Amino acid sequence: MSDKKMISLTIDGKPVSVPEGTLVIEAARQLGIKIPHYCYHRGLGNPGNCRICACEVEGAPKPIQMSCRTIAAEGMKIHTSSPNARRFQSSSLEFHLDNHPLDCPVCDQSGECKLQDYYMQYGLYESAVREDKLHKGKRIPIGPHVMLDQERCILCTRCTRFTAEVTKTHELGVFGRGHREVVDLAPGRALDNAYSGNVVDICPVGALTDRDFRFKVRVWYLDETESICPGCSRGCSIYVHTNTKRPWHNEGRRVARLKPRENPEVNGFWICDEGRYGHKNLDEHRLGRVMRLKPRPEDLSWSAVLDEVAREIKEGSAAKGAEGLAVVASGMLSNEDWASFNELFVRTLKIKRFLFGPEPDQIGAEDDFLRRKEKAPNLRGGLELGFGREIKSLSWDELAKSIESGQTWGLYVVERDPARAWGTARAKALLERLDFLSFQSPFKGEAGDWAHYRLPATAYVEEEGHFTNFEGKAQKYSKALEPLGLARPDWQIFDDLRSRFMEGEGSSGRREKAGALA
Amino acid sequence: MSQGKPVFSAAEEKTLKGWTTRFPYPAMGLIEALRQVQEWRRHIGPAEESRLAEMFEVPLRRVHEVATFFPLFTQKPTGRRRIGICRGLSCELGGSDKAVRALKEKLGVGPGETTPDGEWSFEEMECLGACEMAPAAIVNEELVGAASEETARRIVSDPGKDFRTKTPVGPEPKEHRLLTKHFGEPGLETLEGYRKVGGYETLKKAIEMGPAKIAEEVKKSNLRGLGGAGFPTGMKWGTVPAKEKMPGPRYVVVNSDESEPGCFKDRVLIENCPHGLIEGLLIASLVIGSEDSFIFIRGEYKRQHLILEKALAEAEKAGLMGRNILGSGLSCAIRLTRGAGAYISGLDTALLETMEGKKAWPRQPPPFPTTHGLMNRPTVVNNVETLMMLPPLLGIGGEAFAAMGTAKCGGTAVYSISGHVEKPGVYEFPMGTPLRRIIEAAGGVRGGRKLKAVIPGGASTPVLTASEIDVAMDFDSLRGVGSFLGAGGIMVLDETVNMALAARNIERFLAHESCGQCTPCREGSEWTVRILERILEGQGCPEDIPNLNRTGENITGKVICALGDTVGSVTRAMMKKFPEDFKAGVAAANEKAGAAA
Amino acid sequence: MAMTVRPVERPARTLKEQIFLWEVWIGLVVTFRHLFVNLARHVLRALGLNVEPGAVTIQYPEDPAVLGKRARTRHRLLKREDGSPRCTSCLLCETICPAKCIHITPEESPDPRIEKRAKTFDIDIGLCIFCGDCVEACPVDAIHMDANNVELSSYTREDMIWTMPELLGDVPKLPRALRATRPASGVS
Repeated sequence: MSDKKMISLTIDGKPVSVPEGTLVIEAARQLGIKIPHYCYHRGLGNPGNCRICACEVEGAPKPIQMSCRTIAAEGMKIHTSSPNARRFQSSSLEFHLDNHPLDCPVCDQSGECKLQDYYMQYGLYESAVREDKLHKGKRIPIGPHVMLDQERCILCTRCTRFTAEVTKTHELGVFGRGHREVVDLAPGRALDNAYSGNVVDICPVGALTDRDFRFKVRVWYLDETESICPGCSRGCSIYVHTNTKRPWHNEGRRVARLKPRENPEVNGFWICDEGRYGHKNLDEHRLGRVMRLKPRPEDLSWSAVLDEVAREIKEGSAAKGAEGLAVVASGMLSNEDWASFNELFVRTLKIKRFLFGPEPDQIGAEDDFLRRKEKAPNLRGGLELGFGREIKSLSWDELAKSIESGQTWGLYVVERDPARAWGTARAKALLERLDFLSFQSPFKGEAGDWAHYRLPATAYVEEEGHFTNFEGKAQKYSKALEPLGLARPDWQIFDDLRSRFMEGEGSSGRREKAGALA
Repeated sequence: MSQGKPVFSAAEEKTLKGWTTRFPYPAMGLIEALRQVQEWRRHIGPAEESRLAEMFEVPLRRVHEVATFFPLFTQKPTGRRRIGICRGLSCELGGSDKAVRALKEKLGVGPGETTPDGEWSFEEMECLGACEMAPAAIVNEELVGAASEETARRIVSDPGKDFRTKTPVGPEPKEHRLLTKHFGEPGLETLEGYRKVGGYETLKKAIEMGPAKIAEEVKKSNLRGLGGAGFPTGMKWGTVPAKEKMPGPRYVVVNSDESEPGCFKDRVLIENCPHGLIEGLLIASLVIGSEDSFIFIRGEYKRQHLILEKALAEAEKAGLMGRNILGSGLSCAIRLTRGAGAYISGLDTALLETMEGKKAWPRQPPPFPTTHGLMNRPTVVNNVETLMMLPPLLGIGGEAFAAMGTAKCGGTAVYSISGHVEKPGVYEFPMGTPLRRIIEAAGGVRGGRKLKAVIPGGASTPVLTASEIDVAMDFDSLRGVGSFLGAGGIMVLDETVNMALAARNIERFLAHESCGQCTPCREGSEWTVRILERILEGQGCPEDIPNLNRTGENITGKVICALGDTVGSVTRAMMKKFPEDFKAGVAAANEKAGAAA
Repeated sequence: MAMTVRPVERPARTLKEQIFLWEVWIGLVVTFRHLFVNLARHVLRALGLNVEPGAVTIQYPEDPAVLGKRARTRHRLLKREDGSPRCTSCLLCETICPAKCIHITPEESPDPRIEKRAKTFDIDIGLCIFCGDCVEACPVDAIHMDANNVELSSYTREDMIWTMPELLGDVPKLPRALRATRPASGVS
């Protein structure tokens, strides 16, 4: 029975209608009214222990109630910013700050801290504490990715509820009693589950901070872009936080961190650690120069290199046969990339041999929560065009044999490093046998050193596009950064290359709006 | 992960495993198992916690939470004997600091420390429920009596000796005493002695009456909950869903946690007449339809626990408890379960959490325990005294019971009285008796001194001045003057008491016992203590008193449970009625500042 | 919409104004007035009469520059009692600086109670506008603009960058070209 009875009530004078059983704080959120809260979290329940979500219920025997523990009732009149409500929101904040250390200058949460934010919005009072504050543990690494500071902790229990109810791994608990309570690891445990980074997101203060992000850059320098994680075929929604304003921070890297973006249909409020910390490569070993490496290393323009590549393909096909050309790709391609890929290689060049299956270098750990074993975001985008259905993928073994036997003389590799599948030595040996190797990728990898032509492509943060996740949901990711060097999106390279094979058509292809391939 | 030597021996494993099956749900035995480990090893270490987590099939985190929450469990080894001196208000007024000093000399270690030979650990403890023996001393959870300086030394040199005195039960004459009518008669604590004075006859009557009629009588009687909340018992029972609406087990739990400073009546009632409690509990179980009932008794009442164990064995043997009670076809098994030293376990929802083998964080109704209580089943939690009223109530009938008290509070109440009175003890009076009368019955203010203040219902109730003692001692009248009856723990303070000291004593107790779940109580209680300590040292600043008032208002009514409410109201009431005692602490600082300037 | 036209009278220049010689004369009068008044004051004071002192030209750079008590001069990083820099690398000064001339990189402090400190702290004096916002912003009073040094010119742009040891006063500021070894703290 999905049809719940609807309840009407008034919040701050505005009417709202919600299904029976809705909490007042949620009804307010529907109206865009924000009530301060710490312990309440839509993904973790409403224990009601912080006492800051106070609202005034007109006419009730106890007018001040906690909006996260109060269920909306018909005809209720709620005031979230009356003097009385504000008084208790402010006093609860004061209690939270009574023993809170003056760590703002050294705390990474500064700038996105709910104690700071609420103080500016609801506090702005003079501190009345004249005594020494309570001291607890500081700078405790509790896991590979998380740092704990017990003094800053406001004991909202979000993190303990996360490890108890979401990951069900029970690493964290609140131990002790009363004002001496601390959040800590269960004895002998470490916070090393596959989703440990999420506790940093949910911690409203700087008690749990990210060790990877520690002291790298201040959050107010960061820009935020909506994107999709390319770590696996789940396609969790994320935010990419980039630092371009102060490039001397964060060791010169542009991407500072990734954070989950709420998506009730895909990942809820969470992302896995693999995805969260998989951004380091975006600023390392990147290709930015358009180059021919063999026979003579030379920087070229795009137009020149694509002419050469096209000529190599034409001449090689004429001399040795077009069946000797194979293409290596992967689910790293966006839907737009796949469309252009299809146009170029299948429809125009009539390539028959493709390798795009994820085994073995794009297969990893899987669980019953978010992680999927295909560590490429968009195999499904290729499936729509027949890749994996009518067009079968070679295996790396088959490809290796065909190179050794001479059947394959040329390889076009897109966004994949054959050295990860074959191992360095074998990959070098195999690839050096080829007469033609074009390597198009954002990352140099190892194979980038052995290619004939090196074409720099943009990483997903430097382009706009769509990934289709394993359930068939096409999701947009937006451009967060400018491309490095001369890098271009894959689809644009394919289109431009294709134009070299189209007699009489325009010099550069038009990009098809292939966004929502579902 | 058993590597190397197993944590427990085969015999120990067997004993501990026994606790997984003793109660309807395995985790309910966790705290008893932890108790056992504390007894054997004198502490709970990580290896023990891991093994218990496996055994009881709960996460290690939960075991560690319980082991660090309750004062009984320690992470470092204690001495073979743990001696505690109570620092509750009556005991502090009775000279607990002298006893502490005497013990410190005798043992050579201070509070919180263990003697080098590992024999004695010495602790300052919160109210032990023996305020009439101020300052109370306890060794390994057994009360040993009032620790004067001399007695304190003798407790150490003569361990195992019982220095307790018999607690006076009054008043005389006994005309209005319902519950305590037969107290003092020999052998009352045995089944035979209890039967001699008509015990268990009412049970027979109740079986014949049936649940509906009993409930009717109780409703008519205006019996109120005598553990502190004062909720009408009949109404509470009425909220339990009928068996047809919610089939499955339901429970009655006796709250014998009694940790409120100033209250010790439950202890005295159990010592004198354990069968009275058993009979009352059986009657209540009949009405609710509970086949498994529990008595949750605080750990520090070990002697009383043994008394109840013995009485329960007698009752079971006589077919009064267990299966097929008196051939009626009805069954009710009563089991004992113990707390581990936390005052908050006395709150009904926190008590249920403790019973379920978790730390005692109160729940936030709705839902209420009567619909979703122990392990989410309908559960009625009643106080010892409330249940012990049931046999006399049914004996005289609900209307007569109601007539003995006031309009809305029926029957009598058993008041504990301690502090600066001649004869501290337990006195039973009809509801609505003036407070003055009870103080007189206890012999009046000790040493003929002048009365300064009276705390009417236990440390958490707002204080009354000497001119307010004509108030009627019932729930509604006290509420009318801005205080509460609570559990009727009367503490009498004479003119020598500095009310700032009394405030600090109670707030320190509350800060120590705060469960820490919600922020205003957790932070506000500790902050209040610090401000009061500054005031007592004469270091108060002018903003301190307005701050205490403001903070108090910000806490009371905004927290999860009544303990928090108390944090905000106790000091405010004392400051309102005795402002000079607090201003003195501020004035001293100003003088010093003035002199220095 | 109709335009409103307002005729403005421009008075024609007189002959005197056109020739401009009058203004030249007035200028000379002003200049020589200063000369004679100051001369008179110096002479009368030398004779012992208590008149207002005459103006004196400071022979800078032989005589020191006179700065106001609260003048904002070169920055100075302050130290704690134990000699370590007060700066906790909070980056508030870097953020607020309108000229973006402060570049700081943070690192861990060995003291867990302090946690964070600056690895490098560079100020490009060539960009600094001497507004003093950095001093206002600092929460731990780690930076002042009271080194009383306004002689900050250099031969190269690179030499206008002051590093942490120099700002702390531990290392004298020498032109880069003259330095034999690199300074202890990182160079920007």
